Amino acid sequence: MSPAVVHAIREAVSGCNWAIGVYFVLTNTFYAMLLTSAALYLRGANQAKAFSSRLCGSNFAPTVSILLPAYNEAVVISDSVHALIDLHYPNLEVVVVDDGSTDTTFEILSRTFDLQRIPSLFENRIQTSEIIGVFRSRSYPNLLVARKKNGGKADALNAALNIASGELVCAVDADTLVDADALKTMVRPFLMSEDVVAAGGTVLVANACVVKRGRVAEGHVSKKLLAGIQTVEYLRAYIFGRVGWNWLGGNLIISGAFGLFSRAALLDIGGYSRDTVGEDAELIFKLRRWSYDHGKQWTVHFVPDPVAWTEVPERLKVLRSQRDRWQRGLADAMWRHRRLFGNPRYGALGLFVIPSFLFTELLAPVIEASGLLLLTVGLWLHAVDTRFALLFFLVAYGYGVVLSLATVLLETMTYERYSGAGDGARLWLWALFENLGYRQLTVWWRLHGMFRFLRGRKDWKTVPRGGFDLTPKALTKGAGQHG
Amino acid sequence: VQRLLIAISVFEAFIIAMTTFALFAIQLWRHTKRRRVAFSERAAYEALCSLAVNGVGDQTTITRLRALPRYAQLQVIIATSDSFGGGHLGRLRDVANRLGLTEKSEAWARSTAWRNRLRAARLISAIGAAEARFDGLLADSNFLVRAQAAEWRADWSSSSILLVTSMLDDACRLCRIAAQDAVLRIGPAAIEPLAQFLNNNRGKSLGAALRVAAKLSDCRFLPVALCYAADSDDGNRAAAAHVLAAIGGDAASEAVITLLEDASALVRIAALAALKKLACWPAAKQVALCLHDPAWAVRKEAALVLLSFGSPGVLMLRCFAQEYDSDVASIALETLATGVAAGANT
Repeated sequence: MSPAVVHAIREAVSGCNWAIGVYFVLTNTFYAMLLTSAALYLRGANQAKAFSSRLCGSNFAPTVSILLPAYNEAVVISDSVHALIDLHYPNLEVVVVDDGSTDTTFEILSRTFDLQRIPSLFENRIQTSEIIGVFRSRSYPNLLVARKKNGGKADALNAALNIASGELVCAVDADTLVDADALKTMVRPFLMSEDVVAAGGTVLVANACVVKRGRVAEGHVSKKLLAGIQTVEYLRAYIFGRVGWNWLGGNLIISGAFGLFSRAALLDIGGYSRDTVGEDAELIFKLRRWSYDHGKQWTVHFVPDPVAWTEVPERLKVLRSQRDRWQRGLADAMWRHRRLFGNPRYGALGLFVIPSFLFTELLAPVIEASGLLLLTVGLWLHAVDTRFALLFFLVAYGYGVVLSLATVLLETMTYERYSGAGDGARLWLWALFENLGYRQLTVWWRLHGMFRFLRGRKDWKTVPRGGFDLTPKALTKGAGQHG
Repeated sequence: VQRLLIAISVFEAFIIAMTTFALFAIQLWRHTKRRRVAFSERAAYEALCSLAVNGVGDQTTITRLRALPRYAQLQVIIATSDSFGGGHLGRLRDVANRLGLTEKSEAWARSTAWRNRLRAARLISAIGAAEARFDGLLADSNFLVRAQAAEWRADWSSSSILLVTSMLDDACRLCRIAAQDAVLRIGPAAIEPLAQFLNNNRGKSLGAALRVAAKLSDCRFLPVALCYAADSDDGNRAAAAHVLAAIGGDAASEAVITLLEDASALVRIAALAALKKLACWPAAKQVALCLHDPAWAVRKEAALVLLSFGSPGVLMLRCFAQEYDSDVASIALETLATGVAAGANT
């Protein structure tokens, strides 16, 4: 290679590195802004907690229909439904949709809850696969079960939306452990403002928690590396990633594991999209876009109180496929709603929220990976000083640790759900490890997800889970083990 | 640039060290404090429960409560207030007085900070203390304070009843729900003020007030419900149908049957639900005509109401099952097939 070419490459690499440096500064300033916003919001929310939750459990409170799609969930379905029926909320309806299970899911439901066929009279406002029958429990009249041909999770949720009668609907996964007072907490924003159409709550990692009767009785941080790091990651994603957005233009993501929505609003927008792998992310994009298009003032709120718990993958292969799918889901939602980007017609959503999501969420792995690659090339071509590279890496790592530790501190000062002996130390330890290797791995997986999205892959690999031990033996012992 | 990076790294290390220190210090402080307070709290709960059950407090009730920090005193008193029946609430008020909490809550109620007023409203409403401040809290500018004050557990004065009924028209839904609960708790004493409120506020959307009137189901609401059944607001007419269903009688049934021809589907559905509650089977023919309604939800409700009527309704459904209109026939057939079978099974 001639010296002129090498010089040109050096110049280009150096220029790109500066551009990435500017991106790094801007992104991290934005993160600091989110963290400050979250801290201020949590301070207010913590003081307002003094307000009695009794009212949210009033008989005049809006009816909530819980939508539970189930596909081959024979092992957990009975306990999941029992736990949902027992939630502390007065006007509750549970709608289970058996999405063409090939195992004994329906038979177990029928036997456990004494199901009786009722007239299948519901308006098919959203087209779904054929519904074979609708059943009501004789022992729990607020439990409805619909049996339909298989059509996927979004299709099952749409069928449940058609059947449900509640003013609000709450979509949950069969393996989500919901706190007994979760609905009382989640319904609060809907009572405070008529414009709220969706509310999400904090979902925490339950891998090492003590589970009693389908509820988390004691929160503990896992001692296992992957689950432990994900505990910190979830805290960061929810506590500052989403709480912070409450004050900065509203949220764009509500977890599919637990979210509360206005049923009328969901029916207006045509329910969940069936041809996407990230139907939960796409739903919020659709809700917010529809609101602007039709001159509504709809808002999406995030409730910082921890309300639900989920099991996270403990195997790299499973985690990889999950992150790959999340990235494809986000990319798909962004692509479908690309018209919003920078569009002044959509106000803060188009001018601030969407561009921020694009650069800090969707394109982050691409830019980070490019940065790492260019840094290596720069070092090889001597375009970048080794000492500078090391210092830059140290600053980046330090900043990541600061953000994670600040989130852990916020959680400890407010909700303190991981309060067992040694949990604080474990959170601290995992916060230090998160940015060493794990973050780089997720960048690679997300990059892979982007690549697969560009190739048009929309498959959804089932995430195998260890499951919580909810067998009678474990319940009497009072301890749920994972694994 | 390298100097700047070194400076940033040092600053980050400092922040990490401080955060780590704060994290562990908070945990240590909480751990020791929690152990101390939890022990005293348990003793205070036991003392107050003994006061609620036996009517006489332990000699050391006040001493035990005084051992707690103020926030824990508040927490214990509010948490145990449910165990004290209306007549025994005076004992708890006495304890709060002796601890100086009533005086403190009066000061909080005058505060300009809404969080203090909310704290005052919690204590005042839980034990029915500081009556002079109560009406002020019910009319507070902050919706959380208003809603909290409506949870008042002691006897309601007539001025407070008027204030709480007027809250049924509040712009905030939380306050409307709090007022609905309060009016329902007040019971018969709230019927006249509520009827008066409904009479004086014609033209407004008063679904919340009408729904609570339906729960109170008193015949004194009949004239006002008949008026609202002819109101211009859809929500009011629908809610009036529920009030009429709760009151019952010929006049109510006739008014509800008239609502079956209302222009709004929401009102027609409410009227059908009301007829179901009234078990007004002579209206089976009018209900059956609703199977031709353009709104799907009305047709569905009509089919289910007919089923609930028993033989007259089933007869109507059988007639409509042979209709040329396939939509109507399928609803009737589905209702008959699964509904009648379920009835036979039960």
